[in-house]
Amino acid sequence: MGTTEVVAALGSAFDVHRAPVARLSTVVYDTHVWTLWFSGLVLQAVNNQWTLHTRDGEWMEEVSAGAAVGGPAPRFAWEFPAGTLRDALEERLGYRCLRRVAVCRSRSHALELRDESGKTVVRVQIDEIPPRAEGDGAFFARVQPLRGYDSESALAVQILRAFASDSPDAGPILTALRAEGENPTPYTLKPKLEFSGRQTARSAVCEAVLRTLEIARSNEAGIVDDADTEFLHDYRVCLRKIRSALSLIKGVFPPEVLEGWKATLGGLGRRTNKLRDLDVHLLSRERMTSLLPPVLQPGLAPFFEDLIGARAAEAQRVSRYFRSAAYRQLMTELENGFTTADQLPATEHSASPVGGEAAKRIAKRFRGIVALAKDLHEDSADEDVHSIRIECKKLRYLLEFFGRLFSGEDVEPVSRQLARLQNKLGSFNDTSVQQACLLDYWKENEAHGEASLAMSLGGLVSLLHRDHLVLRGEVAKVLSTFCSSKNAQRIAEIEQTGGAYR
Amino acid sequence: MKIYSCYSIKGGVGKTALAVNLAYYLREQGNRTLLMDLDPQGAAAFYYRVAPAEDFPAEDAGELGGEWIRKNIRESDYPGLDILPSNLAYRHFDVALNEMKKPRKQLRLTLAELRDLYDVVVLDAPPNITLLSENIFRASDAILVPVIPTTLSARTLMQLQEFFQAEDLNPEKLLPFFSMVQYGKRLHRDLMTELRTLFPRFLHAESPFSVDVEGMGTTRMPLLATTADRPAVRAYRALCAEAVARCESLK
Repeated sequence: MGTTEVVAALGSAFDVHRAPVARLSTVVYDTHVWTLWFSGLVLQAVNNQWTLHTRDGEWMEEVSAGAAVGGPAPRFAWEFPAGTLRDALEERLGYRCLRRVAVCRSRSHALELRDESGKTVVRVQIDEIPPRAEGDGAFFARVQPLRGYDSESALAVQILRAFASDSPDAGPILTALRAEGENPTPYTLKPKLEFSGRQTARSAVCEAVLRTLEIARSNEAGIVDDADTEFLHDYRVCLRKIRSALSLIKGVFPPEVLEGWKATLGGLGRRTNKLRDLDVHLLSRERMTSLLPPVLQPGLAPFFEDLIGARAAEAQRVSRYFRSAAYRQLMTELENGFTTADQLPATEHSASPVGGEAAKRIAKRFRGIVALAKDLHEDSADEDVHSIRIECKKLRYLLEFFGRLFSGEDVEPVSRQLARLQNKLGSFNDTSVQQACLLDYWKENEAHGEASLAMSLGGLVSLLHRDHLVLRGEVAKVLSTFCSSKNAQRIAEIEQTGGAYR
Repeated sequence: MKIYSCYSIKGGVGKTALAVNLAYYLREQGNRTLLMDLDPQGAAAFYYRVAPAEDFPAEDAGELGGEWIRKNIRESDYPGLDILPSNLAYRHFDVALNEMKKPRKQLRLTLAELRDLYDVVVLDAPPNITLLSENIFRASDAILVPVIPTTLSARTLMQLQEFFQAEDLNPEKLLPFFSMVQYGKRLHRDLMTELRTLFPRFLHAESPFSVDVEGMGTTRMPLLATTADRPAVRAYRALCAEAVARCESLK
C-alpha cells in the first residue's frame, strides 16, 4: 500500500495534482528532558536553517521562529543569533542544553484536489515515514479543507478512510522519533506518590524517599557527561528533599539508622557543593558584571577566569566520582536500606498514620514561623532571618510530600504564599553569600591582585550590600502577609483533617 | 476592517481586472481578504475559477442575508483570500433593497458582520448607478474608479463627483486612475494631462492596455500571482500599492 493507490483512489473523484515529492531529512533537537516537546514545540535543523514549529498534536504546524546558524550546532539558547528564535528558546530552555535527538526522514507529498474548472477544492498532505531495518513504514494523511468546499473535503476524508485507521496511536513526528529509538517522556522534580493518609508513617516516608531518589538518579548520566548545570542542580534538590523527608516526622526510624542515612546523604551533597557554587557564580557572571559601571567591568575578568578554570577541574572530579564503583555501591546500599526499612525495629511513630503526623508537624512549623516573625525587627541579626528560612524549608517539604493528603483549598494558597516568601528569603540569602564569596576571593588574592580587581570587587560588594538592605525590608513585608490569620485558619483546617486520620 | 470598491458607470474599463488583483495584493500583504463580486456578470469569481453562488432566496429580502453570504463564501486557491461569487439573481438587488429599511445602508450593515473574519473586503461593483451602487459608495472606505483617457471620461467623472456632493457622500473617497492606457496615442497622452489638472486626485500609477490583462480570462489567475516580471504586472503592483497608501491616508 502506498501513495500511488491513495492518489488513484482520490483521482476517481477529483483531478489530483501533485507537487514534487519533498524528501525531508531533518534533525530534531530538544533538551534531555524533552522540554520543547512538552511545550508543544519541535526544533528542527536542516543544514544551517533552524526552525521552531508548533506541534498540533502529531502534526507540525506553522513555523513560529527561525534563524540561520553557521558553525557547530548551538547547545544553549544564548548561543543562537539574536532574534525571535532565540527569544522563544530562552523563554523555555533556561540553562538546559540542547541535544541532537534524532534525524527524522520522511517523504512528503502535497496534493491539490481540483474540480472541473481547475479550482483547488481540497488539499491533502501525505507524510511517509520509511521503515527502519525491519518493520513497516508509517503513512499519514491530513486533509486540509478549503472554506466553502465542505462536501468535497468530506468526500476526500471518506476515500482516505478506506485505507487507514482514523486516529493512529502515534502521528508522523512521534513515529519518526520512535523509529530512531526516541520516545518523549515527561520529567518532573515532583515524585508521583500514592500512599494514603492512613498508611504508616514509615512506609509513606520510604515511598516518598524512593521515588525522589529515582528522580535524582535519572540525572546521573547528565552529571557524568557534564551536559549542563541543571542535572547537578536537580540531583542536589532531590538529595535535599530526601534528607528533609527522613526527618520531617520524628520517631519514624531508629535513630542510628537515620543518622547513618543523613551522614551518607550529607557526604554526597558535600562532594558536589563546590561545583554547584562555581556554577552559580559563573551563571551570574553577566548579571554581576552589568551591575558595575563599564569602567570597572574589565577588572572582574581575572576573577571569572579563575572561576572557569576551577570549575573545569571540579567538574571532572565530580564526573569521575559518579562513575566510580564506590558511588554505585553507596547508592545500592541506600536503595536497599529504604526498600527494606519495614524490617527495622518499630519506633514511636513508625506505625502511626502518616496523615495525622504530617498535619501535626505542618501546624507546628507554621506556628514556629509566626512566632519567629513576631520577634523579628529592623535590627535583628541576619541569622534570625536565616532561622526563618530554615523553618520555611521544612514547611515547604512537609507540604510537598504530604499536602496531597489534605484539602487543596487550604494547601494551595499556603504553598503559593510560602513559595513567594521563600523566593524573597532566597534572594536575601544570596546577597550575603555572594558578598562573602567575593571578600574571600580578595583575601586569597590580595598579595598579587591588581588595584582594578580590588575596585571592581569592592564595587560589587557595596552594591550587593545595598540590595541586601532593600531585600531585608521586602522580606519583612512578605513575612507578615504569610503569617496572616487567613493562613492560620487554613492550617487549623489541615490539623483537623489530620485528626481524622488518627 | 477596510472596504475597497472598484466602480465605473461604464463596463469594459478594467474594473474587474483591478478588483481581482487588488484582492490578491492585499492578501499578499498579510490581510485576511474577501473579494465580493456584486456584478451579475460574475467575472471576478470566474478569474478565480469559483463557480457562481446559489440563488439569493427571496425570503432573505429582510436584510442583505449575512447568513447567505457566509454559506456562499469560497476559499480561493490562495489561502487568506476568499471569494463571494455573484449570481444572476443579483439583478434583483435593487428591487429587494427598495423594500428594506435603510435602503442605502444595508450593505454596510451586512459587511460589518464580517469584521471578525476579514481585515479587508474588496467589492467589484456592477457598471450602473442604482440603489446598490449607493450602498457600495456608503460602505466603502475607498472607491477606485478606472478611467480610460477619452473626452467622455471628464464628463463622467464630473457627474460622479456631483452625485457624491448632492448625496452627502465624501468625494475624497473617489480615487480615479487611468486604465487601458495606450501610450502611443497622442489623444491619450493629452487627455491624461488635462484630466489630471481637472481632477488632482488621480492616482500617479497607471494601468497600460495589455494582452496580459486580457489573458487573465484564459489563465484564470490574477496577474500578480504570476512570477513574471512584465510591465502589466509591475503597473498593477504600483497601482495597488498606491491605492492602499491613499486609502490609509484618508480618514
